[in-house]
Amino acid sequence: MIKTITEGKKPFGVYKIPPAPNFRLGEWFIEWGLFLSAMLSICVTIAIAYIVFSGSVKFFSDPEVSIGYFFSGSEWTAGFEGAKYSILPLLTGTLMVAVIAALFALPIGLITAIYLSEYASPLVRQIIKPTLELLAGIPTVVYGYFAVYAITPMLSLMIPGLDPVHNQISGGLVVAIMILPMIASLSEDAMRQVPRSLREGSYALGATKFETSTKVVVPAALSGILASFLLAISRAVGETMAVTLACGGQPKLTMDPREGIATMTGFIARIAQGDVPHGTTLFNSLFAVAAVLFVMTLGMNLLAQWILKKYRQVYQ
Amino acid sequence: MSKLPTKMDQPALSFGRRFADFVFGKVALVCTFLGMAFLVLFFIRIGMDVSHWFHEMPVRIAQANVRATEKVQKFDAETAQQLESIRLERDKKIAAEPDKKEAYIRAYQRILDRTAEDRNKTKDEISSQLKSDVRTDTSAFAMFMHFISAGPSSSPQDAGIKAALLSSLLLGLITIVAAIPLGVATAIYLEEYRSQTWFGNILQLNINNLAGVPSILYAILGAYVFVELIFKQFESPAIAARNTLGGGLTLALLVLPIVIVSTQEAIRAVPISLRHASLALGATRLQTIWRIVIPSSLPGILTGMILALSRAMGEAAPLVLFGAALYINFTPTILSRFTALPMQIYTWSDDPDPAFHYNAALASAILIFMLLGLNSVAIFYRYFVQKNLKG
Repeated sequence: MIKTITEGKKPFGVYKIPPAPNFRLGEWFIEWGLFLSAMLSICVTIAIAYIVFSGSVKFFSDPEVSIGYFFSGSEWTAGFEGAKYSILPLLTGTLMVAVIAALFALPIGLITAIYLSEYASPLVRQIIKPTLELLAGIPTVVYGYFAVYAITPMLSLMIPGLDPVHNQISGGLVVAIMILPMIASLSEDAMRQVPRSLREGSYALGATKFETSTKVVVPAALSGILASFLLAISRAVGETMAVTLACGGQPKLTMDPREGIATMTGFIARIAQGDVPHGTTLFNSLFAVAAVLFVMTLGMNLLAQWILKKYRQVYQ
Repeated sequence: MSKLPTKMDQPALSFGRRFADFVFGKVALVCTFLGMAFLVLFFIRIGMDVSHWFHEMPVRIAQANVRATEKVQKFDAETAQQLESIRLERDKKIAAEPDKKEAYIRAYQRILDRTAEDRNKTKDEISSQLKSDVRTDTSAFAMFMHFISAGPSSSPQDAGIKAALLSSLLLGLITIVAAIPLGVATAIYLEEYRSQTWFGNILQLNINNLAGVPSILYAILGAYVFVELIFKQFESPAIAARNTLGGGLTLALLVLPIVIVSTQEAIRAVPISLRHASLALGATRLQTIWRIVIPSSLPGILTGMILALSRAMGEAAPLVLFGAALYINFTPTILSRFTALPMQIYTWSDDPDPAFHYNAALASAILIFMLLGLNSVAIFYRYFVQKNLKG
């Protein structure tokens, strides 16, 4: 080990520096300390994966549970007599909330980003951009409170047949408000990376501002925009407290957004708060739901990273 | 001599294109401010509920006071009734046996005295408790101070956030103490030792993914590692298995990616020439990092610290498996059970009694005030101070 360090065979970073003329044990120890703390983040991922998957294995080896029903059934009655475990009602709930949130947040977020990057004066941008980041710091529980006591009463005036306590629309809307700053801020960053020369070329060819924005800037920043969309949707899928407050805790296989529903995260939170004895099927079902959630969000995050890497255009 | 155009000819735009341009500009403006309007609505709503709290609670306190004083009056009436019934019994016995009148009077006087003494003692207890229950001061400031300094209670007007607030501060402290050294060390390793290697790429990918893992999954991780594996072994009356330290460490794992990424950005912004100069003067790599890189990226590290702190103090989901929703009526310490302000807000919001919702609104307002304060310091730093450092 000493030899490799003194000979400097290790590939260095962006800047190549010659190895220290004399080997120092302290430096060697510290490098290993840094390495160990870096390994911790990998350990966290592995630990989460290990815990949720080993818990799921325990859950599926239970005679009450069948894997086939888990992925194709229609009822989730965990905690009741003769419990049936199918992920589909929870999955539908999660996806409904994410889709409602995406329907509102993606267009508005993208247009806000275009406005900030192309239309707004520097002063307006300087005010709105930090405000957006500030809003990302509001705790999600408070958004949940807002959904239950402000959005739901307002919606029930407009939508007939809306469940007055728990419903998916208010949950989706509040998640939309939550992810809006994230989409706007990240997409705006991506658009600002597009060099000025492209815009000037477009204007020189006689394009209007609208055409420049939609046909030049947005396509050029598409990888960043898509990545921000994916990250936002992954956040919507993983959102817990606000959705639990707004959508309630009753698992139902329904496509009617006016009804309350349980999401995957909501189910985990509700089970976790109760005094469910460890090792029971009900408690183990938590791991199976968590495993599905983990795979979904991990997939989306990896896809976003891949899009960013693959389609990123580097301009000079 | 050819004639030069004195004025650039505007390209002729068709009406449709001009119209689309105009409409889109306006739509974009409206959309941006629509999002902002939602947020204004949000703050107005919270503010309204807070003002409801200040109107509703004095009424409830007055009602509780009336109930308490009625309790004393009722007790007095009961005492009188009891004494009266003893006297009636005595009179009845005297009427039956008039010759033993003196003896009866003496015997019953003793009973009467003892009963009166007992009742008075109980009354003193009740009224001394009453003195602490009855809140005479219902000014806004006194009520607010009571809210901050009181423990949990089943009646909304008496409930407070002391335990939750202290727990949250303690959690924030533990998080920062654990997450900052680990995060900064990881960022330094990534940027200064392994930036473009395959291992560095994997680390980077992993950190980016961790930033997107739902916080509820950290709850499962924390409950398994810190509760089941570690603190269950030391469980005793002094050490709870689900203690504040475990909760804080779970939050530290949650905010680790935030610390790492913001530190990395700060380290990347340090000009390479500074490192080269340091190395050229004969400093070792570690000396360069310690004396050049870290000092010049300190504002970025501090920004990351503040953002991490505000995230940790606002999250409730990672703590659900720690039983943090429990009523904690003692001052939480590092190794005791704990609750958290967001968790308290969640429990109150879910309560059927609407008076608890106003409590939730006030607690939310306090939490938002704290977190937005923290965040605005960080953002101010990022936008105005760091820009100047980069030159």
